[in-house]
Amino acid sequence: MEDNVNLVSVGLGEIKVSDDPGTVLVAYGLGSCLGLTAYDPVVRIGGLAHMVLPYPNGTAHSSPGRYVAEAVPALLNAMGESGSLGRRLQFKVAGGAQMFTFDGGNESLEIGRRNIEALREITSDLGMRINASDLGGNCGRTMKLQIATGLVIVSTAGSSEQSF
Amino acid sequence: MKKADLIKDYEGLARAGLENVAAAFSQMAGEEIAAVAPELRMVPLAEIPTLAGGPESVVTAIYLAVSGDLSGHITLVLDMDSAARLAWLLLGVGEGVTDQASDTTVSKGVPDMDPMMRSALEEVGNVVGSAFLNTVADGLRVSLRPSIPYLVVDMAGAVLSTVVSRAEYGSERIPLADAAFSSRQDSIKGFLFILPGSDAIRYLKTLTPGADDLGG
Repeated sequence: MEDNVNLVSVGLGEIKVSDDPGTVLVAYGLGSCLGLTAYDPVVRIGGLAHMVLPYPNGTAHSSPGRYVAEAVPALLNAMGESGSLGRRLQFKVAGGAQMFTFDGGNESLEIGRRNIEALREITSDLGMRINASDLGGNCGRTMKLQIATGLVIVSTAGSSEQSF
Repeated sequence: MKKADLIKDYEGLARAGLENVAAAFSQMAGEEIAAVAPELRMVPLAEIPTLAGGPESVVTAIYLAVSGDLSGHITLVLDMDSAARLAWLLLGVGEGVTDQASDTTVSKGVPDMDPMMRSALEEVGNVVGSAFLNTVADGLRVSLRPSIPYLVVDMAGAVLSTVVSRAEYGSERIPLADAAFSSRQDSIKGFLFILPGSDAIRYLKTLTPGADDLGG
């Protein structure tokens, strides 16, 4: 899939949507962060949010994808605005790793786990069904969404790659 | 501009800390390791994961959380070859020598690092982090303590974005003290990133009245 593709990086706190079949949206090096993709297989529009923290802390900010609680509805909106249909959307999620093993550490410090919990809560509130996921563990991941097919490819530093 | 003032007020201290790191690093490695472009600067959060040779490059990173009067986050990032060389140097074994230390699989995928090497590199993180903290603690007359070092081998972007997440900043741009480190023949190369916690940023703001656009 690396030939003639337009790799578009989705950085920390960003949300990007594309309808270009030559585009692959990619969130590089997800650690405790979460990557959430949405894809409409009929019109072939896909979006990716690179979420950093579970809930906003009240400070004004301009990153729609930074907080899980804001990013999920923002991704849905962006998908709707670009012509996809909510009921057709397929959702896939990756990330939420615990990168450092803090022996006897405070669980509240584990951002990865908190991100996953927030995602479960928000998606359940919004009645969304997650079609596939690769969550937790202690490895960094890169997540790619192929707009032409809706295929999601998750790779780790150990070079193992899986698609779903 | 007030915003520039805080950077200006503390860039000397940050640079002194990073130079101190170079001295401590050199002493450990037994050869001169220089700090390249040590500085304190405002950076967009989203940029930080890309600053250590690309987000997907596999690195050895040693992380220390700072506590005490102010919080912060110290991350030393070494490329895999540098990490191996540094560990061999510290353990007193030559490269390619068949023994416990060189028996590690650092070249394929995520290495299962030898415990001795791990321990040696964690100690590097400890020494390097303490060198910076001592300078800053003296300069600000505060008490700062490093946590035990946590070593991880993974994608640079995954490590650095996780460190940024842990700091839980509310703003888009934050002050970052960083430098590249390099020995004469480039045999050992690394990066050091120091992120002040939100409380530390607030504290520095109180010392520089009017500097209200400093993130955190």
